[in-house]
Amino acid sequence: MLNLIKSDLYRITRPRGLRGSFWQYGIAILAAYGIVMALVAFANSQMYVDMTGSTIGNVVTKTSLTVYFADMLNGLVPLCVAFMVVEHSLAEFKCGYIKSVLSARSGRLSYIVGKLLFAGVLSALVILFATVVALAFLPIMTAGHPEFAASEGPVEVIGWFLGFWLNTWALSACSLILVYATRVSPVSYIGAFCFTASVVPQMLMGLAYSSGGVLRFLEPLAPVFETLATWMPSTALNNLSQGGQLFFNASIDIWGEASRAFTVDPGIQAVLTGIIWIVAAGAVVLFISRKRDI
Amino acid sequence: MNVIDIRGLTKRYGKAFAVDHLDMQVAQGDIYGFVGKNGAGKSTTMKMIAGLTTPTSGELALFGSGETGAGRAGSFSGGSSRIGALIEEPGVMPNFSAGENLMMKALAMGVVRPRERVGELLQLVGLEAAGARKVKKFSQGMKQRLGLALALVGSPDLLLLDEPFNGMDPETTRDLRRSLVRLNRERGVTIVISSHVLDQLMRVCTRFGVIAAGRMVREFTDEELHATCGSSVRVRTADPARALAILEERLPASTFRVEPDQAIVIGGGARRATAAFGGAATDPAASGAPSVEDVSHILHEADQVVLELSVLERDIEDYFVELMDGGAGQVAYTPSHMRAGR
Repeated sequence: MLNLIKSDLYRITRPRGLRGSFWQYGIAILAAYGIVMALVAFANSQMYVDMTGSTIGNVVTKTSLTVYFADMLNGLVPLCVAFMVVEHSLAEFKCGYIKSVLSARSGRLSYIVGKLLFAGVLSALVILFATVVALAFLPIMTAGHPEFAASEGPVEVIGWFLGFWLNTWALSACSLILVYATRVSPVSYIGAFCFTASVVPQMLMGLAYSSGGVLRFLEPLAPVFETLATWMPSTALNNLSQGGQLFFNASIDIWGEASRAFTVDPGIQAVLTGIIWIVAAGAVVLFISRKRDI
Repeated sequence: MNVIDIRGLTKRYGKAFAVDHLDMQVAQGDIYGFVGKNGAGKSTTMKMIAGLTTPTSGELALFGSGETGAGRAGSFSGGSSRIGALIEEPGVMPNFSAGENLMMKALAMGVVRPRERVGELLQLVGLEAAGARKVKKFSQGMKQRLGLALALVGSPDLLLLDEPFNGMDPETTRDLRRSLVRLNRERGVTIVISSHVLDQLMRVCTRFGVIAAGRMVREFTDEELHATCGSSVRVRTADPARALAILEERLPASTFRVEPDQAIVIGGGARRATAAFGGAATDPAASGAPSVEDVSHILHEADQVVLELSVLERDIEDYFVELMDGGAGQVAYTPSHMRAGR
C-alpha cells in the first residue's frame, strides 16, 4: 500500500508542464487567496477611505489563529481535496490504467485501501499547503496587525488541525463511493460538491423541521435526522469555525437548546465524526469494489 | 505445469453467457493464440484470468494453485500476481509522458531501481526517443507499445495480450513479434495473445485455442494445425472402413480424418522450417503428404472401388473461420472411430 501511495504522490507532483494535479489545484488555491488578499488590502487602503469616507474596520475575524485558519481553509480546501480525489480515481478508470495495475496485483482490496489512505495523505498535503499560504498572507489580511484576541496553545491548534484533516479526508472518502459505484464524472463531481457544501445535513435538518409542519408523519424520526445532521463531516467542519477552543471549552453550545440531536462535546464529536465517516465510507467503497467487475 | 488451468468457467450477465463452461489449458512456456470472433468471449476470459472480472462459476487455477476467480477480488494481498496484462486498451495516462507512465506503475509495483527498469522497457518497445512528449500525442501503435511495456513492468511470468497488434505498422508488428518470442525463449514468459490477425499469430504461437459463443471449440498445437491444413488427398470409396484400414497400413506416416460424407482425407505430418523472421513456417515441399498416384495405386492393388479422388489445399484461415463459426462440419475423427463402425 505504501508503494501505491508513492506512485500516486509521484503522479500528482509531476512539475513539468504542471501535469501534476497538486500544482494545478495549488495554483487555484493561491489564486483564490490572492484575490481575497487583494480585496482585503484594498479595503484597508487609503484609496478605500477616500472613496467611501470611512474605514471598513476588521475584515478578518481576529478571535484566534485557528478561527483565521477556519475562515481561510474551510469551503475551498475540502472542495479541492474532494475534487482532486475524484479526478485522480476517475482518470484510472477512463484510460484503463486500473486494469494494468490490478491485473499485476494479487489482491484488489489492498489497492482500494491504498486509494483511501492516499485521500488522507492528499488531504494533509493540501491543508499544509493552504495553511502555509494563509500564514504568508496573514500580515496583509490583518492590515499589518497579526494579533488575536485569544491565544491558543499547541494542543488546541493540533486538535483543530486534527479535526479539520479527518473531516476533509472523510468528505473525499465519501466522494470515492460515487466514483467506484458509478464511474461517471458528472455524478462524482456533483456528489463531491454536495458533500462539501453541506447539502446532506441541510437536507436532514430540513426534514427535521418539516416534521413539525408539512411532513408531520416524520416527526418520530426528527431526532434521528437531527442527530445524523450533527454527525456529518461538513457539519463538523462548520463547527470548527469556532476554532481550537471547541476542544477544551465545554461551555460552547453550538447545537442550541432546542436541538433533539444526540451529541457529545463538540471538539470530541468533530474528531469522532471524521473517523466514523472515513471508516464507513471506506467499508462501502471496499464492498462495491469487491462486487463490481473492472 | 499448466500456468492456466480452466475448467467449466462461466461468466453470465443476466441471461446471456459471455463465457459458457469454457475449458482451457496453457502450459508453461506456451505462446498461446486465442482466436475467436468479436463477442466470442476472448476478452471476458482474459479479464477473468487477470482477476478483473469475477467468474459466475467454474474453476480457474493459475501457476498450479487452486485459486478461484472470486479469490483475488476479495483479497487484501498486496503482492505481485506474476501477471502482466494489456486488455482492451493500453491503460496509459494521456497527460503524462511514456517514462512517467512506466514510472508510476513501477512505483506501484514496488520495483527495485524503477528508473533503470523504465529505461530498459522504453528501449525494449522502441519508445526511448519519445522523450517528454505527452502520450496523448502518440499514435495508436505507440500507445500499444507503451501498453505492452506497462504490462512488462513487474517482470511477469504470464503475459495476457488482447489484440496487441492493433494500430501497428508492419515494421512495428514485426519488432513486437520478435520481442515476444525473445521474452518467451530467453525468460520463459508464458504468453496468451488474442488477435484477429491470424497471420501474426501463426508466426509466433505454439498452441491455439478457438472460442465460439463462449465455448472452447478446439485447442491444438501448431504442428497439429499444419498437419490438418497442409496439402492432403481426399478419396471416397465404396467401402470406406476397409479402405481406411488399408491406407493406414500402407501409409503409416500420414494422418487421416473422415469427413461427414465418409470421404477419407489423407494428410502428411508437416515438417517445420524456421523462417528468417523469427517465427515458424511449414515447408510445403517437405510436407510428407502422399501423392494422388500413390493413393490410387494402393487402393487399386487392394481391389477397392474409388468413387472420388482429389487433392485438397486447405487454407489455414478458412480452417480457423470454420472453427470460429462453431466448428460446423467437423467430425471428431480417429481411425478407431471408423473401425468401430459407428
